[in-house]
Amino acid sequence: MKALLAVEDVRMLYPARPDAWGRPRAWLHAVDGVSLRVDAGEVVGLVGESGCGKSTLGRIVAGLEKPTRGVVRWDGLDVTGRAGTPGLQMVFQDSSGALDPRWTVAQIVAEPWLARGRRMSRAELRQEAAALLAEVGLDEGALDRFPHAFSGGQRQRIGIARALAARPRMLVCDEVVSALDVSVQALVVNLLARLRGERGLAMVFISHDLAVVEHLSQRIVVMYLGRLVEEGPSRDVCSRPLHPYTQALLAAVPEPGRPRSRAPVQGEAPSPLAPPTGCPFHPRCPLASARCRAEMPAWRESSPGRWVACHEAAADVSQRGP
Amino acid sequence: MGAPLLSFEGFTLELATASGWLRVLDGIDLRVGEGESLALVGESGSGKTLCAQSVTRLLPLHHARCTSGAVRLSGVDVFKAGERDLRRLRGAVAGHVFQEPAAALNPAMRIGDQVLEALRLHRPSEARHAEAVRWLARVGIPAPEDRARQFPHELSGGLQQRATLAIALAPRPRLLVADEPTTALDVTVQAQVLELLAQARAELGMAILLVTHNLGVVEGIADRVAVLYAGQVVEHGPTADVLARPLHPYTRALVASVPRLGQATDRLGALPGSVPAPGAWPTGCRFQPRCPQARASCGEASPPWNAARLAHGARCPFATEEAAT
Repeated sequence: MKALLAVEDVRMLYPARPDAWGRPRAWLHAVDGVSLRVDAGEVVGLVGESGCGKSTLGRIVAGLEKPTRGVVRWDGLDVTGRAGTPGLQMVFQDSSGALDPRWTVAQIVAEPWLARGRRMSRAELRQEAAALLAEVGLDEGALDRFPHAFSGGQRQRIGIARALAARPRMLVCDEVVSALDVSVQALVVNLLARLRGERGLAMVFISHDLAVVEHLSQRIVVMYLGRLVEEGPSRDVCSRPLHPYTQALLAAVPEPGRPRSRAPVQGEAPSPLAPPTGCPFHPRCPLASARCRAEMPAWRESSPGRWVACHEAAADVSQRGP
Repeated sequence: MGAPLLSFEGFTLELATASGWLRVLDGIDLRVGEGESLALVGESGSGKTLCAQSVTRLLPLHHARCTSGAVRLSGVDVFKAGERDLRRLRGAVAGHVFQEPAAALNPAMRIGDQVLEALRLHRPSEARHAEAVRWLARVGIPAPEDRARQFPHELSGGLQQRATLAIALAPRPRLLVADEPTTALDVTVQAQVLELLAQARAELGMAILLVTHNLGVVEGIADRVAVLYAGQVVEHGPTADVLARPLHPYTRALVASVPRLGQATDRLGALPGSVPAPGAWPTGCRFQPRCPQARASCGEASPPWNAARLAHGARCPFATEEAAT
């Protein structure tokens, strides 16, 4: 089956620490050798801490960044670094920054139509915009108001309505619920789950919270310092995580009535400007051995559909059996 | 038992707006004893941050007034106390940690100097650079000697929050007011900061007032939970009891909205709508327009406090019967 979206061995380097003439003295490896595929109607969760490259990867997928190396294919066509692919829309984390404060909601939602040169009467435009707002749970009265008149959760839905206006087949959602209260977060997550079901929308859902990701995604991809460390079906990854980093992320999820295990992982991710030798996770890893400090683990399929990059995870899997 | 360290006694707060004084907190009754830990939980707009800011009256008097009741910190009525008395309370008796560490830190001052400043103000005898570095080490900042010489922008969000914690803890306050201290952080760092709070409480024996919108984080930190809605406390009880057997429909909705791992359900328990703004509070029960179990009588009179269980009550007359079904 042909993938709707295929990212092949993508690498993104940013110049860093410019000298007096503005020439970079170092390169920041934001994304390093990542491949990813998303089928039509599939929701893939992209998980990791701040600075792991998940947002950069999302921007590469949406064509907002041109990667240093690698190819992004949409429906088999090379669209690397080209934004505005019909059918691929992005929803951003900061809802107040993503909406023009001087535009009414009707203008914001209708922009994708007008930008594509669609001819429609004013009445038609308002009617269709109202229908989209209804789909995301806002009433018609919102049409003539400005973004500042809405709460964060409502603005996030306006952003989703605008994305839907372009009739996308896929949404790239970058931390769309992390700035919201949990109660409002639940509403937006439910809305996305409904859109997945009703419209058959594919999604790349980027978040640092595994509980939210598990809820929405069929497949989960875990990133650390610009590289993939684990991939597999959501249920499997959350119930039997292979990589110690995934285990730490799971242990950190705050849940009422579940005592947190003590300090799932120590410290923070090192700077991508000075990545450690060997496995990038070894300085924080409870299982780290001499081999981990020296040798980068290969990205391998431990069982069908389950991928991991860890020297030590192998023993675990064989013990558990198929 | 003497007077508690912190008490809200029927505390009612009004804020100045363009159209006059507006009531934002309504008859808050809460107590925090020495070494105790209380979590204030609610959505944006419920009034939880105003409660936290009232502890040392961080609100200017020409914008905020207490119309009835009082907030007492260490015996001092903070809305009647003068600025000099308050300055003695702030930092020394009650320290604050805020949601945005980047906004709380002075961008033009080295991290070590900011800790030193807190010591100089409240513990002059300990005001030495080495002592400031020791506090940075205590809150888990690696290479504290180097970090002390850095400016806030050189630190990650997690390290910045640890630094604000070091500043708040250095004067050894009897109460730490933590207002959404982990909301802006990654889940892994959030877990570390929460553990640090619990550890600091155990070592220093201080009390904690934790403000959060996420009921998932109160476990292991707070002894008791108070749920706020539209300026009122709607439920109050021991943490484990509130989480396992919530009385108020609002608390039940908040518990259900937290996504859990391995949860088979397709939908999260979501609560449509938002907290009514001050000035637009409905008559009767303020939660009644959003309440899935609302009855006709709920809109008539304000529901009285229903002390349904031992030390655990809610502002809902049907609390126990609904919970039983």
